[in-house]
Amino acid sequence: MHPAPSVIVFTVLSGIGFGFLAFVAAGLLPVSGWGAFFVWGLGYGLAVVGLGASTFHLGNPQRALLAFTQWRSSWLSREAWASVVTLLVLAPMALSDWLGLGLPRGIGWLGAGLCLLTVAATSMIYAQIRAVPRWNLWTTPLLFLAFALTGGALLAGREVLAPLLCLGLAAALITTFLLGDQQFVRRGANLGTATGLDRIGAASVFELPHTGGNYLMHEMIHVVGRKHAMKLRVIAVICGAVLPAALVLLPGHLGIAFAVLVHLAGAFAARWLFFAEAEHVVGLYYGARG
Amino acid sequence: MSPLPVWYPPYGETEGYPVHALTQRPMDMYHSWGSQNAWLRQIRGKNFLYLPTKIWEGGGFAPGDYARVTSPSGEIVVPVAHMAALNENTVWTWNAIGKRKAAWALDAAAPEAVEGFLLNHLISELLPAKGDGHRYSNSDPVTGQAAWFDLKVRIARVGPRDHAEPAFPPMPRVVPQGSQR
Repeated sequence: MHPAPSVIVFTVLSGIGFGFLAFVAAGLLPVSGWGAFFVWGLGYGLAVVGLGASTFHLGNPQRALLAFTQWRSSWLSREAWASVVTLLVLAPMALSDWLGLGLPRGIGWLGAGLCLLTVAATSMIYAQIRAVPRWNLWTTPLLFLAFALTGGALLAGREVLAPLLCLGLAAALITTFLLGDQQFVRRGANLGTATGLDRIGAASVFELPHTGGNYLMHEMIHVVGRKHAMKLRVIAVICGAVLPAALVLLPGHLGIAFAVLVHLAGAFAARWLFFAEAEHVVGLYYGARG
Repeated sequence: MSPLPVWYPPYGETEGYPVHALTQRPMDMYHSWGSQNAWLRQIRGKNFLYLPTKIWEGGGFAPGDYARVTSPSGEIVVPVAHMAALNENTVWTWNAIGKRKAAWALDAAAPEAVEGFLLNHLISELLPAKGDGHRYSNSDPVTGQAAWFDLKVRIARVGPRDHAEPAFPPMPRVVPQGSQR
């Protein structure tokens, strides 16, 4: 799939934003007064900037509102609802932390659960696409949740939980890479099954269906070099998970800032790969997949 | 005129030109007469000379290769593709795809003008003399002169190229390019 920058920025920033909000809402980063204002502001900012970025690739951004109507069939719509409900539910908790209203933490726990639900809904947009075998696997929600929780824990400066989650994220990334590589072959789809010609013999592409490019070729057939992909996978694991686990242990806010920045670099590399390596079966008709 | 098909030897020299070269116009063009339909340009914006397996393998051709095609009247260098379902002594291509640069109000870098080609350069401009000595024109400079079993050629591999030859400079525009209208 074409790795569109708007979608990469959206999924990474809103992921870490909702992960961070979950930690703050659950009271795992005790804050009050203006400190609370800035911490909650950061969480809301990341989540909202991310959601805003998701509209950049729409030709007509006001259509984004129509997404809310399709919740019965679309995970994108459910994600939109989940994010709005989450941000509304968390608002009283944020105000309570800032102004010292003393509202029960239960609201925060509910909001934290909704945060994770939102991230899960984002991941299901990709995980439910049967035509992209690499995504159509339990590892996709796992990876999105691991990124959200790890990013959130790093940003919250959790000195024990963050390194542990980092290790979990490394495991999730490696599992995703290893299992993902086998999915297209395991699905057993090839040019023969795509055209139905496998019943009468071996099918091969005489020439492409058209000599010019089209939407399918631009958006769904993206081929990454094996070496290039390997380099980015290493960057994703090292920067996304390994280095932040050590950096977050450095004393003071500087350690957290470093850990989060390095983690984000790894997260962007991982998310770019997530899209660029995903093989849509439509490529079979173009002879682009085995 | 006989209603039955006739056979006559190809015009001119055939010694050393062992392969028949044919063209046919894409039938979808007959359904969009008088226009350069953007959709059709997307489907078939460039053409290949299709080579049978014997020539493809005999000449050591690989995907992306070009070939020098020579006839008694001239020579062209054009992109080729392998077509297994083809008589071993015949090559063919779509007619009417290749365009002179800036013709048909297209961009000078349009694939039709860079990689697309016609067989006109291989075909004599004039038919053989009639009884009165008059020679009728045998050229269609607008959509491409059709070649049927009256054209014989020889093929040689030249390796990968990025444009067909001969390549001429853009012609003066009579109709402005799409973006300037």
